[in-house]
Amino acid sequence: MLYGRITSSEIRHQRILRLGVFVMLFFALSVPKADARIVVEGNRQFMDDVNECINTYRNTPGLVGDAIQELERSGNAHRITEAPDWENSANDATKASNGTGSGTHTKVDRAALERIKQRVPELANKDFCTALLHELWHAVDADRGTWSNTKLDEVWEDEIEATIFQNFIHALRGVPPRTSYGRDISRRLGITPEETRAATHAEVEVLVIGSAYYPKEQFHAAGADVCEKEHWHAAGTVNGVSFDATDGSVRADAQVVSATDPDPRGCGFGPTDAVPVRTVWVPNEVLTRLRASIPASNPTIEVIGLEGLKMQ
Amino acid sequence: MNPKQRLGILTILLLLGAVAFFVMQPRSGAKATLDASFDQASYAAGDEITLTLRLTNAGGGAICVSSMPQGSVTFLSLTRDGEPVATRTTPAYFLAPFDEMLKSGLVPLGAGETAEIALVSEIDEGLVGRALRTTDADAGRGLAMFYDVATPGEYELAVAYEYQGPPSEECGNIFTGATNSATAIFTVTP
Repeated sequence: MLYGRITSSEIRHQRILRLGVFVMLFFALSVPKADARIVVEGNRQFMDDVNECINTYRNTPGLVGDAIQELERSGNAHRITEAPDWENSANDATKASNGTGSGTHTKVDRAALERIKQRVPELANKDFCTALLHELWHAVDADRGTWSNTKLDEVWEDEIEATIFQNFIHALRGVPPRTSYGRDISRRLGITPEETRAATHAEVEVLVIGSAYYPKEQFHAAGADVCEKEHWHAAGTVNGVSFDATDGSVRADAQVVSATDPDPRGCGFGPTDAVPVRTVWVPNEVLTRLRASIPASNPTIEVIGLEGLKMQ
Repeated sequence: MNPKQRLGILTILLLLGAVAFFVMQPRSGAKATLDASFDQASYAAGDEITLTLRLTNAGGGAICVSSMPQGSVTFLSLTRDGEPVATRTTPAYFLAPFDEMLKSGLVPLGAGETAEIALVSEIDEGLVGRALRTTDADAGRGLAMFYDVATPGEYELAVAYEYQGPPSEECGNIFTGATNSATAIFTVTP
């Protein structure tokens, strides 16, 4: 049949067409959008690294997420390119400091960071993303037109601000705050480590079962019955988060884990006087993941002291 | 005090002065020379331009030099058709104090060895086009200077190397002097 006959030139034509579509799709997906306010330029791995960092913190409640979203909504373009400089500069230094606002150029490189860290001890707790966000604070500052030209305790005020911002990320990651920028600036940071933690973590009352914390609200205490002591039961699956065995802290990369009542007709999860109940700090992002893992019909997680984070 | 005694004291003072003079002189053994070249003789407007600087240890012993252009490479002049090119400056905020960044970039260079430092032009939104950039130390931060290299013309660069960072515990013999001024030329065509 005629429609079944395809000539070699048609095959060649279709191949070229397919290749053209593929090339167009590739460019459409990989080239930064013209209206993107954060413009990432570099090879695929670099772009993935930067985007992963931004995606990780974009929706973090509080300053860190707000700052990223502010840059993404900005009328100025903020470029991030791959270079070993590890710095941020403004497209217009005057506008960056006179309230008008300016776009910026940030240069970062993962391998260079590791080299620099070996020789600059105060960068010990910096991972690629934290370091990038330190630089992006300068971008936020320039975008607002609030670059300062003054020093406090012999350190540029802009760097003190970037260090404060960086410490919010340190707190989210569960690592100690940075307290120096060439010299000790802890006095200027304005927040104690406890305050940093309070801004990025929530206190949750939990049962300690195995190597994980389970929010207490998922359990109910049953009186002595077949089990001779008051004990913990739960309906269905309970969810919790793993903790660091060395110090009991919940880190930002903690795993969400689940368990079921091991002895529903007996002592359940154990006698109430044998299962430790604690109030622990949980990073907000971990709490978000934990909440998402708990079915809507199950009890809510009670957050202590932070009204904004309480579940509806 | 008789004349002989005076002469003796004067001689001692002169000797002490001479010793102090020589002790306070910079180590003359450390010496480095600079050579500069562009990767092409001619570029189309908008092309990437790479300047390669070759720093050679011309002294008798090992020295430390910066491996990064920031805080070490200075454009003494950059002209297009005989006139200074358009420039702009802006503070640059580094991950760590600029001094620390400069120290972290020090590398050893044995006698007779050569280190290469590359300076690649970048798109500068401030000058709206290709620019070469240098960065000077500015009391803990950097001061970036962008030089327009997008406009067609005959360019001539005079450049020198001089480490602007602090001493380092890891590199005891940093070359802190200034090199010769190296020159290089290129053309940008429309």
